[in-house]
Amino acid sequence: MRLGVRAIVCLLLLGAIVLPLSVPTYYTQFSTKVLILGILAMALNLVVGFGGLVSMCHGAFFGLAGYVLALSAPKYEPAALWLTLPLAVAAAAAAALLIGALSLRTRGVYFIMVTLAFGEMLFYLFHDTNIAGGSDGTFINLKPELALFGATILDLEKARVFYWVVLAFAVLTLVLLYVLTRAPFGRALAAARDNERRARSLGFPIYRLRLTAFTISGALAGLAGYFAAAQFGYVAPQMLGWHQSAIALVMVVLGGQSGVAAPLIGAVIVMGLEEWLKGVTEHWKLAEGLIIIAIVLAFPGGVQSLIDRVIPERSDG
Amino acid sequence: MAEIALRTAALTKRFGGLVAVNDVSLELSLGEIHAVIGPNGAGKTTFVNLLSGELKPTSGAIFLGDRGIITLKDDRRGLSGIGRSYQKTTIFPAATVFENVRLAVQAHSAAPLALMHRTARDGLLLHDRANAALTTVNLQDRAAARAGALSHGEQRQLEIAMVVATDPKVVLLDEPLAGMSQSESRRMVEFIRTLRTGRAVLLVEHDMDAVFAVADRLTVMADGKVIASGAPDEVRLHPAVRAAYLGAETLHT
Repeated sequence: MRLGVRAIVCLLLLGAIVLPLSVPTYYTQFSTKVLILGILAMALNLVVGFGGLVSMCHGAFFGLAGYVLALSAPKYEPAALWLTLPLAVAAAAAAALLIGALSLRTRGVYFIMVTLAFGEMLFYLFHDTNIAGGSDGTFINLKPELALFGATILDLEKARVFYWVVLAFAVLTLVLLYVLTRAPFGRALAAARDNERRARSLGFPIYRLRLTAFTISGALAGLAGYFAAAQFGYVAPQMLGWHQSAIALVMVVLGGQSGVAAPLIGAVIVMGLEEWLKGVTEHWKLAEGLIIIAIVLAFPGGVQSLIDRVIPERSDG
Repeated sequence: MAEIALRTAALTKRFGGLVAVNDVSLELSLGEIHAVIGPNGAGKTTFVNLLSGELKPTSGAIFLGDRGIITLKDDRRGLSGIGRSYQKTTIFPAATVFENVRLAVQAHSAAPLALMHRTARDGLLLHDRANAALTTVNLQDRAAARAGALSHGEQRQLEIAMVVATDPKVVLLDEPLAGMSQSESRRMVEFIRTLRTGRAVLLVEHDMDAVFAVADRLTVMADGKVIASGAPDEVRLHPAVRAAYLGAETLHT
């Protein structure tokens, strides 16, 4: 990274850290939501942008992790963060491993259809059975906490604490994806996207490579889903549905697919637009759709392409 | 007699009623360039695809050294020492020339899918080996260029550089001279000549001047079958070859 870029990143991070100290609680909660969906979008972009695989079932991994929290949380006390978070992420990873193992045998538009079908299967699993309230969903009465020997270290009931915890995980996700995409793993993943035939004949095990990426991506989507469920205090089947997957995909396309952080920008734009338009007009969805189409037409490479133009060529390859 | 690197036994591939490759038994020896020629539709590319594992044969066997490899998928064959180039240039156009070759080196490194560089040395090792491979094909000056921006001839050179960078025992070249200018062709022929040292090379090519310039052994295919095989000068005079492949035309020398 160049010095100027590094300075900007540090400033942004500092701004993000002090943000809850300077805005009302409502905006702290709103920013938390943006970060959570940003994690989901960044996770999705590992397979969409870097792997060239358009997944339509990341909502399912996101929602599944939320359900794991809802089902494992005690009714009248806060769930233990150190226990339920790894459990939720592991469940999402396992689901991604299974769904990936089956759907990665297909290519292109068939892959989209197969992932869509698997996602909907998980949706109906929770919608049509009585698990966790069926189609009504279920409440998570108390937010998880991190406690040691009875002393609470992190209490997520406090909006600021919740925000900082989510911010920490968002930064961790960003760093993890940054390292992954620059490692041999990420180079091979991009190579398989650019020319699968050449990558295969060089000796790269494409299936295993993509399955690994898909599983990591699903696990990170689960991380986001866990915090989403904790924040809303409620899970419902809609959280697993294709609509959720599609919103994440819109964030990826809007932000840009070539940078690790670009989908996070996409999340900021989509959520910001929604928040603003809701206050302006009753038909905010229509307006939002039109604006999103306009942005995509103006910046086919995502908003990131605009930033790339301002900060030219980084040499960190 | 040179050591046999790769051998096929009665290799056959059917597509429905069409027998694209029919009972082909052929040997590739270390240190030799074995050219396969034949009219369009003779089954040459199908044969290469059977060897590289992109197609599964209907029957027959392939041996890499002593080992039967018919069950190995194409990526495993790549790792086992069979490298190939394609009729249509197959590279990573968006990446730089250096990155292309580094990927080839990486695929054959100790940890091709490492989630992170454990030490700075891992990265340097790939770096040095990729640079060495670029130097052998004389592309070191183009290392930073985007592969898609190279001339057609350079792209074909790069593709073979990637194959060589994986240090294969067997190199399969499917029409490496296709679409090249004369001067590019001449350079490529010189380069192909150097490939045989320590390797077995299968060359499928339509350019007869090039074939006779470099081939140590020549096999002629027609309608999926081998109709003649041997030293180039013997095959050239074979009556069946003249009939099937050259028609009424005579070969210039």
